[in-house]
Amino acid sequence: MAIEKMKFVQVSCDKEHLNDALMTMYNSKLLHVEQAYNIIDEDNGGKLIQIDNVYSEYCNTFKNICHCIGLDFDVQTANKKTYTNEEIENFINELNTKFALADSKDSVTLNEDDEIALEKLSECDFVKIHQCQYISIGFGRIPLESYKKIDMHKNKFIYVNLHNASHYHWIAYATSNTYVKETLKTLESLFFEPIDIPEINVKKVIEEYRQQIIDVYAYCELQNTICKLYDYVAQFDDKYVISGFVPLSKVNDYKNEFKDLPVTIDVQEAEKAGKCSIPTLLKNNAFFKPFELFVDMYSTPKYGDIDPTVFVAITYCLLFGIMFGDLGQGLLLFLGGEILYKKTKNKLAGVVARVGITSMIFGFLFGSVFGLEELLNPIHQSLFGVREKLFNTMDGNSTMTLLIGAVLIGAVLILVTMILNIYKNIKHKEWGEVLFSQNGIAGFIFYGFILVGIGMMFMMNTNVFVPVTIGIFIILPIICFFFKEPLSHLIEGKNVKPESGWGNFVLETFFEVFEIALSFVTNTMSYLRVGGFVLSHAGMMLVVMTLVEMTGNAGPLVFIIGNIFVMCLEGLIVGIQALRLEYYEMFSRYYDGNGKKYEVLTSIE
Amino acid sequence: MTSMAANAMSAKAKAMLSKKLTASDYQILLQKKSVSEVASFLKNNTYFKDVLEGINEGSIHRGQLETLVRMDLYNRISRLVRYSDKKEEEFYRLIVSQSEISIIVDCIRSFHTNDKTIMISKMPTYIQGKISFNLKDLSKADNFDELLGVLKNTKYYDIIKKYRTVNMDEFDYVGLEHDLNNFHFERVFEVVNRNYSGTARKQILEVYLAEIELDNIAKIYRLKKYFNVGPNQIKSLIIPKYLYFSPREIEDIILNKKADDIFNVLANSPYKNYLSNKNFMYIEYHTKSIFYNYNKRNISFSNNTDLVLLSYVFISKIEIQNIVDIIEGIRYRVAPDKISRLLIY
Repeated sequence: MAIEKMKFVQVSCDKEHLNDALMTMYNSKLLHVEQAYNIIDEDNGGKLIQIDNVYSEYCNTFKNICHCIGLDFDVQTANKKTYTNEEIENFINELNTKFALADSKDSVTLNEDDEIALEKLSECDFVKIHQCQYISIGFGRIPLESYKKIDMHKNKFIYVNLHNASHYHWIAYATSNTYVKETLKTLESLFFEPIDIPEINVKKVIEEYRQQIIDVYAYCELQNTICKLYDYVAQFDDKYVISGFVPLSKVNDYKNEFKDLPVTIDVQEAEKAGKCSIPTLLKNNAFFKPFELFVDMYSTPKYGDIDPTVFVAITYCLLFGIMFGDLGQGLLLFLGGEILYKKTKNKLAGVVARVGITSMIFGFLFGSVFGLEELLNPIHQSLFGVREKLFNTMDGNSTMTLLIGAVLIGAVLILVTMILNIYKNIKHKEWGEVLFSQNGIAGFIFYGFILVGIGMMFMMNTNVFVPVTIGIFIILPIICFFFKEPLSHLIEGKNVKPESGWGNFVLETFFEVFEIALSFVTNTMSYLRVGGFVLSHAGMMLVVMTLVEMTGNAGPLVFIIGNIFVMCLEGLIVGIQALRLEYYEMFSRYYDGNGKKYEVLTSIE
Repeated sequence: MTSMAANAMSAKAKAMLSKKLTASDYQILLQKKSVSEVASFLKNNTYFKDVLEGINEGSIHRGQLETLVRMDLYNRISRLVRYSDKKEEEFYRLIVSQSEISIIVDCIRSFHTNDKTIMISKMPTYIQGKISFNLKDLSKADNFDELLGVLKNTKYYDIIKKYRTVNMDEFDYVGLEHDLNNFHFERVFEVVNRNYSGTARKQILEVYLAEIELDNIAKIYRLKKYFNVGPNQIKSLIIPKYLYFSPREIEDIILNKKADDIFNVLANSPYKNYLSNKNFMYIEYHTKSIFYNYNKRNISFSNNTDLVLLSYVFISKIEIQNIVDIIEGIRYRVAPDKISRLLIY
């Protein structure tokens, strides 16, 4: 349960080394960088850097050119060179002229199939085709229906099929110059769509230009990135400052990144970062780490707050394990989840692997392996000395135990979340919340007393609900809930009188208190689902086993399919229900979130 | 046909019709400036997307677009015919027999012009499997003898033989088309009478009779108005089949009515229920829109599966003609409101 301690780090340098400093920061992948407008204000005299980024346009132009000429490249293969803007623009013009892209408005964009056909035609060498003096050669696409009709004409040309797709054939035809008009008339009547044969072999020329294009593009991309990073630079006279947050454990690493640059690095406490809100980096061990997914999905905790990940992990595993108790299926979840987690680092797979473990534990305690309810009986008998098995979920006598157990777990979890809430509010010095809230001490006493009272009544036959205890442990907390707002104001030294007046206050608070009392009941009952799903899981497996018996030789297949079906369906439902309990029944009592996640720049858009 | 298959076909036809182009689709199409834009709209926004998938809408030829749109109707009919028994299949083949007549007439026209490009480009090769002669052989025919050779084993042979000539300058195209159409409808009636009985037979025959009668009226109007043709010649050029008009009433129109009175005759006949409320434009617009509305009613209210399919085919043909009119209009830069007057929907 920890949130990594952060430091506010500012790197200052002169203009000459700014670009290098920015790229070092970007490549370090350690800084949660802050926008410059968060750093400057009227008092410190800082300025934003205003620049005209022409490189973004250059990059787009290069991308368009490469798309048009069909050039794919890897920017990693670029040589480190520098170019002036004039050189870049001249090179772009040269490419446009060479590949006839400047007047490409009227030209037809070639699709993938056109390219394939053209590639095949290029075997004849485009230059040689254009050099023919007495023979005319043409190329284009013709609809499938029309292709069948070519031979219906008394043709004065020969043709070859170069490529075909769902609607067209791509053909090249050749005819003597005498019959060009006639040939074109015939082909036109067959809805032939001519495509110009290029005058140069584009592929060959592309190869000539490939390295230069890559080099210039890489330079433009680098400059474009730097220009975009200027948003994070605050200018103070002739000093340029890059600010952000670095985890305490990484501060030295971050400093080392700049060791070859003449920069000044100022490390301060994160709290001194002015108007920047401090980002949160959760720090949990390998077992609990995947559960950060659930916490982030709800809301990242605020820096300085409690990190609920460990509590979420323990309770989620516990609830899932109880609801999905099966040794065999749990093992499969564990193995499947673990393999996937190792391969993809997908946090959900990690969660699946961990809940698989608790599923196995409870599966063992319930004596259930792939729905075989009696397989573990001998082990139970020897280990626990029981007659059949430790806990038979399908036994009618166990049902009430199961449901009461589920409610008890719920009640304990509700009490624990109240303690967490009290701890959180003590940390924030929110004394009103600590003392008078339904999730504070008043709520804890109220709910705890009722639970203990009911427990003693049923287990020890002792009634603790006498006027004195009711007055102290029930009525008094209710008065606290009722007057929480004015009492909190009293402690904080504010005006006790409610803003909306006493009349409105009493009316509103009456219903609120009623709702609080109701929510204690509904939240506790909500945990009944834990027991319900234990029964549902056992019931579904009973159906599978009955089907296995009914289907004779096909039994093993039904057994496998049934198990897969139950695992998928039940696993999904139980996963969602456990998460629901986390979010609605537990988080709503102690957790606010509203933090900002620690994120380093990984790409510039 | 089993009742389940029949119901399936009927439901399928109704479902297909529900996807037909709407008034707003036509309004959008009328605003298009090029064939490419029309193709792009049809490909991305209408049920023609399947047949147009894979086309290069940026450079598609208008003829190719028309071919694909027409081909789509045959694809749809084929999908519906899959549900039918063999005897119905015979009946549905009649749907393509009008195409056979067009192909033969186009072929004879090519003898006259000595140019086969138009004939070949119009030739619907996708129906080769459904027609009674070989299209490739027909495309090679340069004169009547060669044409008769191709049609030797077909029912068209005797009709064409009557028109065999070497002097194409005075060839009687009107007579030929009339004879071929007459033959087509005789064949239709023969197939319908043989395969259907009772209400089904009556309803299907009525669709064809309505088609013939409305075509006759349009023909009488045109011959009177533009060609000043005498009553006897008019009588010889119409097909003597009747639905809502009696032979005597038709004869009265031919003998005593002026061309411009014919619209009033139509407006006072049982066809008035199907008349479009647009002002009088030209006779074909009205006869076709009457036929369109007539078929639309059949699809909405009939439980006769074959009647539903037949009406579906006729409505789809009109829709295709609308698209062709729009494409042609765009090609010749006709104003959208003028093209709009041609559209029936």
